[in-house]
Amino acid sequence: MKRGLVVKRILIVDDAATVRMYHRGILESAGYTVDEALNGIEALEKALETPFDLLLVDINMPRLDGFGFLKELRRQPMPQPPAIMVSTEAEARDEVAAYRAGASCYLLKPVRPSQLLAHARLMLGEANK
Amino acid sequence: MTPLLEQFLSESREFSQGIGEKLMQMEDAPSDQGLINELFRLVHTLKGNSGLFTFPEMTRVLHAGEDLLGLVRNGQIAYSRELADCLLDAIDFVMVLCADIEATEQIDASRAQDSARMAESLRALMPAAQTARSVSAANSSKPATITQDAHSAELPPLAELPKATRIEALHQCHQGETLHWICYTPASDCFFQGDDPLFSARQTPGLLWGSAKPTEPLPPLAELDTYRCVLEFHLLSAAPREELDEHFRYVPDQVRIVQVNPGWLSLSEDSSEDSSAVSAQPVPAVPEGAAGEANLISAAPLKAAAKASIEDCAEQVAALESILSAQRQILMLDDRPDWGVGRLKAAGSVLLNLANSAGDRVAASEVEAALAECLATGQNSMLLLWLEASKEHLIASCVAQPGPSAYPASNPAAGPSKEPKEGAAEAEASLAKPAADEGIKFGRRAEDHVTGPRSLKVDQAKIDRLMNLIGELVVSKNALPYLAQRAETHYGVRELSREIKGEYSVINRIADEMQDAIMQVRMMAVSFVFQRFPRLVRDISRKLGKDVQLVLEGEQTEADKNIIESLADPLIHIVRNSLDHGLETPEVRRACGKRETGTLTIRAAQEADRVVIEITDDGKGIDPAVIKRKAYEKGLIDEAALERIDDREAVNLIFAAGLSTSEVVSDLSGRGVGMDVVRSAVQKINGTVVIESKLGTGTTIRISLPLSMAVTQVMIVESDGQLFGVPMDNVVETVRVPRSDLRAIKQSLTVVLRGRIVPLKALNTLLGISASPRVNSDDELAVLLVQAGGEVLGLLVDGFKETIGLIQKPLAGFLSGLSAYSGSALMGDGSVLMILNIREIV
Amino acid sequence: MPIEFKRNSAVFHDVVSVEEAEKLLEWLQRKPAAKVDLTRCNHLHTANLQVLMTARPGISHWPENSELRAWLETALNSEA
Repeated sequence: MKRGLVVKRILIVDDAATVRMYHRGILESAGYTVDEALNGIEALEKALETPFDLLLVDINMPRLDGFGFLKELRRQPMPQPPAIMVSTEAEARDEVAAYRAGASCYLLKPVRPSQLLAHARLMLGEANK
Repeated sequence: MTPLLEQFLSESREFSQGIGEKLMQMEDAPSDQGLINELFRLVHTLKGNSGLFTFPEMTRVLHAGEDLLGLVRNGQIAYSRELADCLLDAIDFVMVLCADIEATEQIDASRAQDSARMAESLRALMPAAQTARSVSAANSSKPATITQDAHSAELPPLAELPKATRIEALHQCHQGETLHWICYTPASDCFFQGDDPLFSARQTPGLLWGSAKPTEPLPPLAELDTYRCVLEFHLLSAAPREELDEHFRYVPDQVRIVQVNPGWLSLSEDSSEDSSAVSAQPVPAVPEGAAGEANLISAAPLKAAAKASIEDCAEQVAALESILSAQRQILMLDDRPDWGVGRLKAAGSVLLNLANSAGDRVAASEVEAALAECLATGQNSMLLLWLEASKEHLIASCVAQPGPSAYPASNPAAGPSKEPKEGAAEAEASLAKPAADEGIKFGRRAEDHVTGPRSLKVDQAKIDRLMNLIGELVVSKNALPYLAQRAETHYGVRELSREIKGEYSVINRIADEMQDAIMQVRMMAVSFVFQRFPRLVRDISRKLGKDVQLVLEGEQTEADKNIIESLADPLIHIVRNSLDHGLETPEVRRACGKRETGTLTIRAAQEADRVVIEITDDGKGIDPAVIKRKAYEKGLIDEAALERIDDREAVNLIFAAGLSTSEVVSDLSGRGVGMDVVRSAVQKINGTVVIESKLGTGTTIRISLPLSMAVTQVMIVESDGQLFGVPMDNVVETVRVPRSDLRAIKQSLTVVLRGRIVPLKALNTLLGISASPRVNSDDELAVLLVQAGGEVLGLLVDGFKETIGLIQKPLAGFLSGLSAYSGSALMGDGSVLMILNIREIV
Repeated sequence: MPIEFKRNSAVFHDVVSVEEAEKLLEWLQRKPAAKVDLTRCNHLHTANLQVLMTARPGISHWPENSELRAWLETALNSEA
């Protein structure tokens, strides 16, 4: 697979270790570098310290949820990476709430591996490479 | 066992335990919202985890539990002992399933019924409306339970079996086989879940016979809803019960399986005749289940093979469509939250990456330009337009792009460094992907290929250099009128003089436009300064124990870079002051009958050629009496002024040097540094600042700044044979006053102009020049009315000259100590014009 | 093309998916006298079956796949 010299970095934000491991497995198998955060606060700290190219964000988390995290991140004067919000809520209003908060797209759990990779590649600008 | 499955089991146990504990705690604190939230989260997360695997038995129960807790969380149903018992049972069941998985890595198919029953008992605790929404089964009129006890269920309608099938079935029963009758009623919305009930029915193991019937009378063709399933399936199978449970494990609530009693198959009439027929002709119309499956299987691989080759592509197109639709929704959001700029940038980076994915550099630069425009204007329309216009071709190029294997690693015909040439682009297109294929697909002109990104980052030094050059050009250009004058007066060539003037007007116009263009480059949005406020306000208000909501408006308003940059410090100072002294603590606010959360609004807007920034708080306001008293105590105003000045003027005394309103020098607003610092910083960039405050309701500080500080319009005046520049911002008007009209009041010279007494001062005197103002032949004095610090006064000069735009240079070296001048500028004849600092000299 | 719409006949090919049902419904509404040729059909999504059961068009050819044919004959011939 042809990719630029710089390996893209993805941050998985989810309180469930199983989900983190599942997503990590899919993304690492495609050659991405993955970091994890267990809640919004931790995610914010990591994202402010080093920029990520893509975020994979759960909604329901302790301390600071996915919406709160994205809003705060979008307030920061820095390059804004795309964010995939993963949710179990299929209602349209939940999807709109995610967009309002700053999500770039909205996927329903469980996310299929090929579906996740297709979204990640497109949003990282390297589909077809 | 895979590590993922191990992780799942360990987390499931941990969560199950946590759920158990939380349920126990809730016995003592049934209305503890924190506990309920935590409980909901645990069940929700566990459900999400189970969905990663094919454990529908577990997911179903947890889903029901999550829905139930969701209702408790929203206060729609109350926590009860019964509810806790039911949830504890469900968690025990989940633990059992975990044990299954631990042992065999799967869940025993027989658990499906327990799971359905468990889910149903959880849902039974919900109000009826919620159950109807959550339970997908459309057959609510029928019992959803799976019953193995044939006697308690209604007798299956075996009469509908064709006679031949019935005989065959009876035959099998007599040979000791067990047959099952299955009634499968798919949920009416099952098509949306991707279900094809006919396919599931056809694949039923051991299928002997099947039929599809409408569950309700079919409507007229025109009224049929093709996406709503209105069929149910009756199936007769020879497969063992476990196989059937396994086959229908995802829809246990939609099937009823009954073991067939041979007696039901017995024929009441013509039995002997038909019995003989069995051996004579073996049911031609109904093939055996295996054969039926074989037929399906033969079709399946074809479908699968075709699917595999296009699967990636289809997945990618689906993903692209969903991402595009999401960006469209994001760009169409009409709220304007304070993270809106970040959100817009994120949408921009997504679209940029989609263009990059398509390998389309032109599209990428279009996105960058559109984003820059959106950020500049605060409108999302440019990106939205781009999205609408480019959607189709992005999807098309996504389909057309070769996969990884098809990507040409090296290309002898067209090296990577070779730019596609005009005309040759099409020929190369098939070889040199992806750079060249844009030309064909999008029908662009070939020269577009070499277009770089449409926005560039430029080092500020280069812009400054351009700025200096244009300054010099303006100066040189100004030499032409002198030249024209000399041509006429010195050399006596009137024609040449006129031609030079003609050329001058052309050069003048171009220079003006050029200046304007360069200034546009220097324009910057105030968001550069505003963006630091959300964090600043949050941190400070937290530190002070205040609850403050920050509202930012007009972040896209633009001004010259220097203006914007020098705005930062005064603005921060004002915001700190508002937070520190203006806004009250929640307790105080409550006591005053105000909303506990204070509001701080920072608003920017362009008004004519000025940028106006308003900082408004709804805090306690400023008491003019206190300010007056303090100003008097510090000797800033005399007793007469104490009586004379009104509240509005009093409040503006806050900008006077040496006046600090707060008794306490707080750690935030600085040590004794008052608002005078703000005023001088604003004045330095030719701005003004005023304050309005109403005691008890709040304060507004209004800063008005020029859009650009690069070019200053000045009026040239003459005094004692020297020329001076006066910024037009200060000039009110020019008048000629007969010397006889001058009056001396209390040693100072005045004149009455339009019924108003205007004090007069001679510029010569102010600058320490001994000569007195000259009068013209009509014995009139030249008076330049100027405005300084809100007061109008007349400057006596010798004469007025033209008004010109020039680029002011700050005084450097030892000259910088001369406060009478704000700067200097080069004139067209090479002389230096000193620009007066009116505020300082009067 | 899973369904080939000819002048007066709809020819089903191999597997007919749920996406075809809407088109089929519209076509049958416009052509009440049209016939359906199922010779080469191996499977049709339930949604299409519902359309056929509602519209009851003439079947010019039943599927060669005998198992599918049995299903369709039961569904389309009963209680006509």
